[in-house]
Amino acid sequence: MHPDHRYIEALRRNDAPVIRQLYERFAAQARLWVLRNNGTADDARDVFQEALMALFELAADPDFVLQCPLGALLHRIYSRRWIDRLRQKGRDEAVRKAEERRYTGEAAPDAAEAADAALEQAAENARLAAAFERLSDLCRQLLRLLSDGLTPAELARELQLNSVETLYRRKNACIQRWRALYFES
Amino acid sequence: MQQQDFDLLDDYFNGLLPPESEQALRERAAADPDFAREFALRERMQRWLHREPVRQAVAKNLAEIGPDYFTANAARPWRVSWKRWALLAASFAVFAFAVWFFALRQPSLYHRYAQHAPLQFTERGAGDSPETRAERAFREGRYEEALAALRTVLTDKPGHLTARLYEGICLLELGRPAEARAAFAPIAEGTSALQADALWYLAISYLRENDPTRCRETLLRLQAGQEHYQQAQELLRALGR
Repeated sequence: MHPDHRYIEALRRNDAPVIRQLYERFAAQARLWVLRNNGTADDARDVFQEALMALFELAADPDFVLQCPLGALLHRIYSRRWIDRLRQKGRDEAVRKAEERRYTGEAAPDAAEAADAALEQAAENARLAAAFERLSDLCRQLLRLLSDGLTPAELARELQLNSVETLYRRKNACIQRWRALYFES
Repeated sequence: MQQQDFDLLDDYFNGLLPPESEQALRERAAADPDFAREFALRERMQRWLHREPVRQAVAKNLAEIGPDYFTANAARPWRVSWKRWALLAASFAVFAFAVWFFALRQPSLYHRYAQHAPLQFTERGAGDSPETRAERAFREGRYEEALAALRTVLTDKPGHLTARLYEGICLLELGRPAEARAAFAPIAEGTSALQADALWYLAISYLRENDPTRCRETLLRLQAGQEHYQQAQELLRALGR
């Protein structure tokens, strides 16, 4: 386990003081890199936040243990996010320059693998989230409340459903709809 | 995949299958690639839902912290004058003293490990609902008030596991670990998404009472792959196994 794993734990717990330390250590480097690659401070803030959210998703796996310096991993993630954005804007020359600078100064072999996993996990979660948002209000409410720890009997009462069996039927239908929307996207 | 396979997965994720059928389903998920894909997707959906309140809280936190570090003028090169050097030296002396001073006052193991995720209910009432009051008071460390609001929620919904878990955390913070355990124990014995959280806090409650033996016994009940497993391993090492 790398000593920087404490930042992963902080993201898992949403521990604001330690997350602030993380910004203190790594934000300036991210800002400088994005500014050098045709971005603004706001762009840097956005891709840095996206990188942290991607790490948060990676940390959802309780077995995930950070094996490389966090700075190297973060750099891999935010630089890829920024290059993707440049590509979307069709700024080919800027993309080429950014690609050249992408991994300079970073020599952590585990970081590439973890960055791939983080970005893949973030994309998967974005797909689940987009499908979830397209569900009906009732489905969203029902699934959230069940996940929040309400017992099925209490939830059936709260939603004024006849029985727990009705609740499960509704829930199963919502899950099937969510699944269908997920595959549509 | 047939409709009956989807029904089977529904029953599994609703906790309606007997243990032997659960085992059979897991074995099938290990052997049948189509079934394994569906099983994995359902697991991801469940995990996504379970983490949604914390995900939103983290995103909110990052959105609040970020602007402090990404203003247009941040990290401007700094010219160091002799006055600044003097200031730096004085700061270093103060820092060295602080390190020396605080090194003598290491936080207890309890305070190192009793780090709580913010309380966040999915369902929201009106602006001054007990849920909102509990969230606010908990966030600000006013545990007496949070406890009172949580108990109002629990009067209405006695089976609300999130409220019950945080009732226990408040009691723990108020120095009432035995009462806290009465809140954690039923959740720790159940199969809900909060089971691992409750086990972790049961262990922490023993730490609060300086009872490393029972803390260790409880930590060992957390399985690899569950929430808090890594922290439990760290704490076990700190306790000397």
